[in-house]
Amino acid sequence: MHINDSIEQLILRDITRRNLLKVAGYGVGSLALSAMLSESSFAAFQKQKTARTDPFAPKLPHFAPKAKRVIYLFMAGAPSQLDLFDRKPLLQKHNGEPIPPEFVKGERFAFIKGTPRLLGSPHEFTKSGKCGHEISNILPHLQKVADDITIVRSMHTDQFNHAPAQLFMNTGSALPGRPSAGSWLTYGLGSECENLPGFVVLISGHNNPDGGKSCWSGGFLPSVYQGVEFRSKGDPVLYVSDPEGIRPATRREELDALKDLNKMRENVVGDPEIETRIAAYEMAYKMQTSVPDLMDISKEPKEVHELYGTEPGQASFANNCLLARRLVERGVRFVQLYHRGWDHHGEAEFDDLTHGLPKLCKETDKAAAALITDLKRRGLLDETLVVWTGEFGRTPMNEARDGSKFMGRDHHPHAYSIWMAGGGIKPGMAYGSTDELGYNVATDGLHVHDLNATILHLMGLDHTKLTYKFQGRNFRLTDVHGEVATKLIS
Amino acid sequence: MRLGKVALVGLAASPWVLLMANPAGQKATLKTPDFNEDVAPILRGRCIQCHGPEVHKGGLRFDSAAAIQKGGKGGPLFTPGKSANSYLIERVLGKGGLPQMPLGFAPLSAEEVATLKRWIDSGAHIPANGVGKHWSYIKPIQTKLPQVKEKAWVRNPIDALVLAKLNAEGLSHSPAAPKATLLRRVYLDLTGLPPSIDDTNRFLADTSPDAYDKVVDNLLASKAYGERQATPWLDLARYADSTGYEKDLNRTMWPYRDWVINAFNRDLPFDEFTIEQIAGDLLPEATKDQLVATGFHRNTMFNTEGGVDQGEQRWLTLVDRVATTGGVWLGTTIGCAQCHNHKYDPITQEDFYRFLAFFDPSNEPTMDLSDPKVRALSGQLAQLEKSLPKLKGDADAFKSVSEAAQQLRNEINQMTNISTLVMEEKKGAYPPKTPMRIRGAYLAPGKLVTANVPKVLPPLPKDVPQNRLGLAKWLVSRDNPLTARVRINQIWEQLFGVGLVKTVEDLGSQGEKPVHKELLDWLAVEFMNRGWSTKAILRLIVTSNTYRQSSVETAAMKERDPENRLLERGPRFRMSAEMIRDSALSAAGLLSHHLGGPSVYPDQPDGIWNTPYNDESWQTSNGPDRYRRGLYTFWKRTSPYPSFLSFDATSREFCTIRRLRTNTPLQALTLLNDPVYLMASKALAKKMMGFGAKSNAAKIDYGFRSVMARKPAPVELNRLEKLLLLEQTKFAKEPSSAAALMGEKTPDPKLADPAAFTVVAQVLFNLDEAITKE
Repeated sequence: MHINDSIEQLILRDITRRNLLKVAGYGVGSLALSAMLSESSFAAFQKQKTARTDPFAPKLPHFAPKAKRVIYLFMAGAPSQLDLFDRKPLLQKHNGEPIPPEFVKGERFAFIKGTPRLLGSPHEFTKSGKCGHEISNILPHLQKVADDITIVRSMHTDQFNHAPAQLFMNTGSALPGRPSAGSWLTYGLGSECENLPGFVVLISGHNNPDGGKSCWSGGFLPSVYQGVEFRSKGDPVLYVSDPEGIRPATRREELDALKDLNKMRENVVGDPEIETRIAAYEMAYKMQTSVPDLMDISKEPKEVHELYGTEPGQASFANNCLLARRLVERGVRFVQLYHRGWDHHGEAEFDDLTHGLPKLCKETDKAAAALITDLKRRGLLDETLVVWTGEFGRTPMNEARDGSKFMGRDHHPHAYSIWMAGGGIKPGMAYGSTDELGYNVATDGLHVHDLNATILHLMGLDHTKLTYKFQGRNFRLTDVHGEVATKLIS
Repeated sequence: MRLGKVALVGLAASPWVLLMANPAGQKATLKTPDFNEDVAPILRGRCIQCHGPEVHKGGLRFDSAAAIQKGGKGGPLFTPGKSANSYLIERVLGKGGLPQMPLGFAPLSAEEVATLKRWIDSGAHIPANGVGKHWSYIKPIQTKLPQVKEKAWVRNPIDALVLAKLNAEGLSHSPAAPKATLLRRVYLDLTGLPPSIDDTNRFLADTSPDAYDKVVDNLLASKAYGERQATPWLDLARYADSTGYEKDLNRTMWPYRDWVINAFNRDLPFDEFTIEQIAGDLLPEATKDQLVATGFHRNTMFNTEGGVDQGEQRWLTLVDRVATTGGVWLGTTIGCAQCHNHKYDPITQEDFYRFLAFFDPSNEPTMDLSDPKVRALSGQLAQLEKSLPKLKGDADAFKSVSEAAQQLRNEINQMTNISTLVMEEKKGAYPPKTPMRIRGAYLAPGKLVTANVPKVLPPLPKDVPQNRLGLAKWLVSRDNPLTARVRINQIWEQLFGVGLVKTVEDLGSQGEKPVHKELLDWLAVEFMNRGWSTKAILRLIVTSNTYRQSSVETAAMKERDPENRLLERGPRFRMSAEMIRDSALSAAGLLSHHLGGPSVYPDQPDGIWNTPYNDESWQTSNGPDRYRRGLYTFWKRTSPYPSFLSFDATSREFCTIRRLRTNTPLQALTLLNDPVYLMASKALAKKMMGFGAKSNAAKIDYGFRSVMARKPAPVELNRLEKLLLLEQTKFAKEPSSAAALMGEKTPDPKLADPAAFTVVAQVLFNLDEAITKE
């Protein structure tokens, strides 16, 4: 039996509603799979399998995974790689000079007009850690965990506008409608956590991301796989709190009556969907406890709050980082944080490189570094892949929109930097490089599809085989592209 | 008979479980395989991608009889009659030391291999005209209606076709649904609203033979009918109130939405319905209404964020128009041919761009729809305002005149600044042309092609222009084999929960083969014969005995046909997001029946809208607009109404032909805790207590009938009474909880009763049956 087919059948059986009677028939696929997969860690993983039959029940990956879960820090707005990770002395040297025309011939820019001038970074860099990562001094906390992270300086994308580029990063398509990586992963692997969704989204910063809720959409997958937003204000999950006056005991009494009455109807009409509905209500009841319990960070020790810079009750990236750790501790498969505001065009002080950019760094640096530290000391980093990225990079040239005197950079799809840590990524590695101006990728380019292929690979999934048939075609996260960056993997 | 893969029997005791797409369910046939029916679909679906007209790896192609008979570099594929020595079978089984075919894809199923073997053994006959056309590219015909033994059950030809099929499988139909169940079913299907207690009583009391037919006629004539029919159409039209993408700015498109509602209500024939939406602007002396209809293709998204390439954005809307037209009318995934020839269906990349050319020469203007009456009304307002100072002495007169002036002002406000997006053809662009795009990339224009329809389908009729109007007329020409089938299949899915072809979006070779092709074809032809009247075809279906069957599912049915593809029973499935809301508000007596107008903002938790570079905020509507039907809810693409989203509504960023139904804890939380359902519960509680009954049982009975449109069984009533008693006692002991639930500041023993009834009403609205059409 073909591996792809059997996985799909397993998944289909798992999530098709009228299912239980056929679970016995599950055997064929599982046997075929385990025959092909002999690694001991995989055997251990198999043992963990519970009797769960829901769509989030842990499913067998294609091969032994390096990582079991992902924390994805999406820096929406696109941080400037040239001021954070990709030091360019030549840019410094030629600061203010017009860029050689061969670079920009035939190029489309979002805002730059005419021949732009090169812009050296106003920020200093420091060689950090034993590995000597060059990291900007406006990320002092990240400098301290340099040896735990791998910096990729050769990311590139196809998109140069925010919304399409964010969708592209998340779904492999610049148009809405495809499932996001988190949806693909929970569809393919399920989640180890029973009483929380498998794919959770946390938002901080100035707005929702430009791509809207389609960034964590399940696309054409059943809506159960879409990311569920956990909010810092109001109900953490929409409608998770009982209405005023309905106490937990009353709720329990309601649910007991519902269960009895639903069963009575099932006895009459015989529709197995009712059984599923009853179970959904029981799970909802559990979530009413598990979600507030998860969101309550007030009982974390003081040193944890100091490490992250968290303040209970606040809406912040720091709180979300701590929540991300709490979520993966509980076995949630994919946690995605959005922090929007990195769009530093230099139109005014608020979005320039000397004020706006350091401000965003301050909002995020300490907590992101704390997350690495915290995961590591808890022994979670080995199996948790952490990804920090924007949707594209920034130009080596000053944008100078309408003659602005502030320093800023336009959108740039050809090269940008991201970092990754844990979950099978070689620590302390510098992957790929750009040319001397930081305009184009020079070595080891990592396209968006390659990144997604690599993420799936680390999670034990072959990106060419994780497919879903829709409108007559087998779709993938990586479309028909993507190569796993094996050099990144430990 | 077993329905092969379709019969995924079972029941999952899990919260996250859902109903979902189940890829093609071809039934196992034991008769001699027919090449076109049984073999060609396997070759087209599994082989032709690498061994076809485009690519012929190993010198092998499966697209003509001669080529199949010849084989490839590996020699002949088979000797007719001898599957045992067949090279073809060896390769698909992966035997003989060579890699298994299809290379890199899932192997053929045992059934598919068995079909190929039986076909070879039976002589491997290929009809003279070679590889026949896929079934859906051949015009549907009405076959002679089968004779069935149980003639009395046949109310119309649908029943004859369904029963004959059932009998052939050794099965029979189900008994008729109880009257009350049937009434609620047909109310929900035709109006999206449940019957009131009075409606139900009247129907139960009416013993005349045409009692049901009268109900159907009334429902088809009701205004709610158009709202019900429009709702799924708006998914197809990707209708929304914002532009999508980053800023996701508000836009006014509701006049188009109202056009759709009205079109259904006046039963605009589906062919005209099509022509006006695709090309209303190109009709001679197009009316304003016909222009509004062209909003169909102005519902495309448009990214307005700074720095986008406007040309590329516009081009993306054209691509969307092609994919949407292909999906909605042709059930064809023509969008797949944007970058390369379609891998499975005979649609080339050139076909895609020729189709796109129809849409290329359009201007995309905004049409002013301010009411001409505004001028007259403004005159009246000026007069009133002028008279006000003179009335200062007379307080009463002053008050009434200033109130009248305010009302007039509101009216005028509502009638001005109305606009909508429409289509308009560029002058001198005939016939339309567009450049192809190499590998589908906007930045790589290729050769110029002229507007035309895909070559595999019939050509444009002789008497139509070669532009959008011609395209529209071609879609609904009698020669088009797809449109009527596709529309009937959509309608069938709305009523029965699964289309006659389950893949409603794809009737091409990768789509499901219809379980009941004769029925689909008969209905498609009948639809056209009856002048494309949607009301006529709906009347026919809902008055059939097939539709009227009980939806009770026996253990045997569960085993042999869990999805009810053979129609052995009536439909039972969860309502749509909008219908769930509408039903609850209706049963609670809160629903506003106001038809049309600007979209509204019902209660939504704070902080949902937070779009970059967009200050628009959700301002909850006041008064009856809080309780409008779901289809009037403001549809923001990047942030759709959350309670709809959890019930599988779509973002409307693109055309969605089939919503998958799921069954999740988030839905449970929504019904339990969304303030909309709490308000409905309180309102229903008030009705239960206030209609004049003395006993608790009678009050609960009233609430139950309001929601479920049937009397509760004694056990059900007992269980609810038990709950009521418990809650009455507890709320009496905890007056502060009762006050909190009822939104009162001061605890009052009198609140225990309303609070307890509210809890009972909540349970009623959360029952599986309450959100299910039975």
